[in-house]
Amino acid sequence: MPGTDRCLKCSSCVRACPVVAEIGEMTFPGPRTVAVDAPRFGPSRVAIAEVAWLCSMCERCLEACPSRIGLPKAMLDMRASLFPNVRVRPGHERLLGNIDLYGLSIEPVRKVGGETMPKAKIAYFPGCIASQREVETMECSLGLLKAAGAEVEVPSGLVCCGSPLVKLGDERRCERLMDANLKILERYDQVVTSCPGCTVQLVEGYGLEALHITEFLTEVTGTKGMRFRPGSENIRLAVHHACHLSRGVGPHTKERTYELLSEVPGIELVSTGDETVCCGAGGSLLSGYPDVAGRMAARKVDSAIFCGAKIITAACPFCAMNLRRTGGIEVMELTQLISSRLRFPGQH
Amino acid sequence: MRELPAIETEVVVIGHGATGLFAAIELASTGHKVLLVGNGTPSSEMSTGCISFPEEETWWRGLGLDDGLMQDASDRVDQGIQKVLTVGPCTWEGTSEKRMALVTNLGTIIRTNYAPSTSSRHDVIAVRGAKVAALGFQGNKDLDPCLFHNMLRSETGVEASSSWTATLPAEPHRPHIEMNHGVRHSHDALSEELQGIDADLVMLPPFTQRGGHDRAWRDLEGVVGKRLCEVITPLSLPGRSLVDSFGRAALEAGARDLNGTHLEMIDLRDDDVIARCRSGLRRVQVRAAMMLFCGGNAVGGGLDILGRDVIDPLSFFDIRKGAAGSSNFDMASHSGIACDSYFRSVRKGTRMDKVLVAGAALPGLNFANGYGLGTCLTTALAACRAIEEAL
Amino acid sequence: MRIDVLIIGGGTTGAGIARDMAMRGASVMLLEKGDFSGGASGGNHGLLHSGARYVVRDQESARECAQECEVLRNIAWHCIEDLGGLFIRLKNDDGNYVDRFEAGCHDSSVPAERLTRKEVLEFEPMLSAQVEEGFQVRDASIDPFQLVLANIQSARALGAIVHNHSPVIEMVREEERIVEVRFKDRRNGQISTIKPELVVNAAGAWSDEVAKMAGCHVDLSKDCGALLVMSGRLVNTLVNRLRPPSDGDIVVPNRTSMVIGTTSRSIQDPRSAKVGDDDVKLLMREAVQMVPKLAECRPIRAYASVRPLVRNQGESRRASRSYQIYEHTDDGLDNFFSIVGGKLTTYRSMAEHLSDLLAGELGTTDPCRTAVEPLVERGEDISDLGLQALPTLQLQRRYGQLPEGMRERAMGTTSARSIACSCEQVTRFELDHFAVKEDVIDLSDLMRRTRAGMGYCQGTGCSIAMLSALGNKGGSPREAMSRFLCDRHRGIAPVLQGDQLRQEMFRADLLKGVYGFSIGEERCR
Repeated sequence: MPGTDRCLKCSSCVRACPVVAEIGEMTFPGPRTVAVDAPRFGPSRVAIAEVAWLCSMCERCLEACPSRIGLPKAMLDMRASLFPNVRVRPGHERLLGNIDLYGLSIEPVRKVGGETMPKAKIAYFPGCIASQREVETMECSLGLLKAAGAEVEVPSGLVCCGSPLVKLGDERRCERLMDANLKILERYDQVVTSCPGCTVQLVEGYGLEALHITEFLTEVTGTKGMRFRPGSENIRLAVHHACHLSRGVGPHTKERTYELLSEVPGIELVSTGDETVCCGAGGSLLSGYPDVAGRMAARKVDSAIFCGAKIITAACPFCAMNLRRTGGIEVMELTQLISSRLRFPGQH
Repeated sequence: MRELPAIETEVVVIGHGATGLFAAIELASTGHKVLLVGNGTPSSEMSTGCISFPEEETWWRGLGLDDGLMQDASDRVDQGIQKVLTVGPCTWEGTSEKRMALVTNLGTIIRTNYAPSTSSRHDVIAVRGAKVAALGFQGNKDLDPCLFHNMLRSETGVEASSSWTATLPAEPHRPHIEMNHGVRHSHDALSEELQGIDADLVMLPPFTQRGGHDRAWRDLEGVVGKRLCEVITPLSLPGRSLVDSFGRAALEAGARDLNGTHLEMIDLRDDDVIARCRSGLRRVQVRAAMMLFCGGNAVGGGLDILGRDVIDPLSFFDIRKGAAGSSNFDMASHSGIACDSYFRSVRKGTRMDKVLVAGAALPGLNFANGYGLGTCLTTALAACRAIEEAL
Repeated sequence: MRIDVLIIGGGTTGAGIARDMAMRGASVMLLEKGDFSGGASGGNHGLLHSGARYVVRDQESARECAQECEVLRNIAWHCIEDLGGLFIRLKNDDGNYVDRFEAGCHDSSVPAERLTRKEVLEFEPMLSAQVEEGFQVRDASIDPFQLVLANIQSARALGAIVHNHSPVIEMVREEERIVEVRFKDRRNGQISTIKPELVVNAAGAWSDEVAKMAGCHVDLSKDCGALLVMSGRLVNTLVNRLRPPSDGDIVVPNRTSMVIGTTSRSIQDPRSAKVGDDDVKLLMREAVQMVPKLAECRPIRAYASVRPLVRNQGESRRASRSYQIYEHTDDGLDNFFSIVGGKLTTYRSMAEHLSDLLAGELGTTDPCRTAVEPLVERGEDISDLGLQALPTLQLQRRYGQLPEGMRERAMGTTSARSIACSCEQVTRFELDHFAVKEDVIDLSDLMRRTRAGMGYCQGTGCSIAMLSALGNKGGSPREAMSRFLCDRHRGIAPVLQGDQLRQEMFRADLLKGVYGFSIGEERCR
């Protein structure tokens, strides 16, 4: 148990939980009940399965807990122990079906990746979303990496990183995927990802040297190679810090995001006060409970609009996708936003 | 784990609770380069934000500090607080001379020096004179109006009318009033309900989000034409507003904040001290001339000065003995980690002169009679003075 | 008012007799000086014995337990968690005992299946690697509070008059009969007199005092046992040490915790029962041998209660747990009966035995039906309350069937359906329901009925909800709260270390600082 015995019943995690804030304790009792209270009930803890997949794994509770209990880990342990014996949500069933059929968490619409034998030392790992849904993110990321002077390629044959399966509690399927990816990725010195969920999984699950693109562009290549068009007008921009980036990969990525944005001319940052609040996409919430994920995203979009932002940016294609479902404001993934201001050779 | 290049600074402050932030403000505003390293929710954020100063001398001695320093510490804290508390999203009222009485969410009365202004405007006298009502939000446990009524009557003899409202839906944390940079969400339903209550003063549970706290309440008061009082409730907003205020003031004073990083190890070297921290999947090093250690949260456990996790920081107190008659229980809960062992162990070690410790155990919670936040701020000041001398 | 049978004592035995006699059509009254199950009935592990524990030393008890545990599985289904039990032999334990144990099980018809080391560890992976072999038996865990309350509830439904917080203060004897009994109602201080036909003394550890009031004598040995409650469940089977019964050789997973029992020490006054430092150390030391990970677990509290034992030769541990009925004819009394000894598992058959006697005196011929009629009917659907699955399940496990009127409360407001105590998943409407009952006068009463406050935080947050539900009862809210906190603190004090110390610091400061309540450590001294 990740220290759940240390709980003092202070309710900090419940108050911090964005899902509780959105749908109320009566519907989702919060991290404490699922991760700390329920396991104590012995065999009857299975009753918690009803709500155990309502958590978005944003790790805000981990930050809020004064006893520093590994609540997200405890939640995942709970899910993993329940998983073999419960009927999963329809959305999760589709996800598992896709994994079995295609090795991806979503239905593929295109083939990704060129070479089977590496020519470059750095692999770009697009992840399911950037390779199949938010394709622009992949293209812009590759463009930025190239502009920054990095030799990067997209290996073929990559499957889902397994992060959604870890979140679901399906350890068996996850291991199969990891084996497949590891065979390809271990030939490279470095992996760069767009999706922070993939970054965390590649580092923690696979033990690979993986960096998120915001880290790579600021810490490895730097942005000197990039040339920007002067901004014709200032865009009022709200930032959404993806949970798996700002809490998963590390708080230093918030600084990195701002460093990157400060390079781009014509941007006026708008402070919304809820930059680090979860948008609801993560932790299999979007696939299992799209309505809840939608409401959480709408709340963020509302707040950005109220603050006068015209665009929201997130350094995560998955968050970007979820925020975009709401409508009402333009959502651009970070690399997409930066690329839109990039001056390519021959451009004036 | 990937290691990021070291960050250089003059003073690294560990812990971004009331102690750490207050010290950062003091140091940064006197021109020192300060970096804050903090992890998670500090216990002061879980407090009610009320700051009290001790009156008994025994308390100072318990900290192992000299009387001379303590004489003017409270004055300096007083000035410091006034400087800080005007910055934040919520204003504070009070002085160290006058102790005010506050009403808790149970109707009990507590006394303090400083309190968030929304709740501090109503002292016992106001409560006695006014027609009081308590309005609880269904599904929200912060204020139970029936219990409030019973307690207030038994404590003060004041009869308050009590009612529940379902106006705020079954989602306790979704506010109808939410201040975000001056933009007000609709609060018509609630203000209508408040207008219908026959009372001069209505007690409400806290329901504003971070930011714009004070203004939101004043606006609502204007609309309903009644005095509204936010009852004091544990683990709720005022403590967060307080830490927010401090945080903003620290940033304004020029301190850098690495909030969210977790201190793993402290290297004490001949000419400097290195804090090895963890930022998610990566490692960050902070190199500094001095370190101020304010990570001693007794409830959650903190870190000792070698950066080790202290699961049970109070184990050196024999609490059972305390319960049986000595004052150890009170000692432990009032002055906590900063007292005794920590200060002493820091002073004894020859290489420890680069590390200072400040803070209090349970600062957030024992504000009413334990002077938790008062301890935080005074020890922070004492530490700042020592650091300035050393630098 | 005609009273056929007056029962003194609201523990399992008294409540069982009340139900039994009420079922036979007698007019019954039960008086309890404090709250129900306040003595040994509430102060045990909550272990439903399969009988295996007694097979070597006391086969009569073993046989009785083996029968009764099956009866209770049927009639008290809702308060039993049928986990099954293990008897395990560790490396250095006497191997000869195993054969005697097996033979004893066979002779007393206690079902037991021999398991190899591997099978035991597969069954309960958290057990010590020192396990050599084991037996699987039909032990179960039972909630003694709910068991007593269900008996009372059933007796009341049949017309019995039951008062708690009503100590008997005087018995008037005329020649061979107790003609009048006077009791005081603590709620209002009123003293009432009743004229019962028969008087039953089922006062457990206090039965010698009650007998004395009637001018007669009960030979009772009082044995103080300390128990330790640990947070969470490392094992989901009742674990017994396969050796002659001794201190700290049982671990009972019950609700959200594990109870380690027990110690055994002979005492004079049941009021002086308390847990010593040595008790806690001893229990931990012994239990850790069976379940090593217990050392890392968080102790919640420790408590002690006094077992009333039939006195015979030898020290307490070897004293028979069987019971004895005194007809007090030697004392020259015709209508006074005392019942002492016994155990939780056999409470019903004890009650039946005595009730047969009482029925004979009253001339009733109705047979005993307590073995066949369930205390609570099965099959109520409460999924429509709109609660989440976990609290729904706990609600069912606590009451079996919702007590009358609780459903209406649950349907009342959204707030009523909120969780008041998250440790035990107690809803607010349960508190509201019991708080208005006459039986409940303070927070501890409310706790015993709902389990709110029994979790590892020992009432950090739920005490406020309980206080709110209690309203104006129990005098000033501050006083009521202090009493409760003091009561809890007494149990926490022996285990103040590690996480429970942090919890207590947190609770003390939260309640003291924010609410202005004192945790009561001064009072508890």
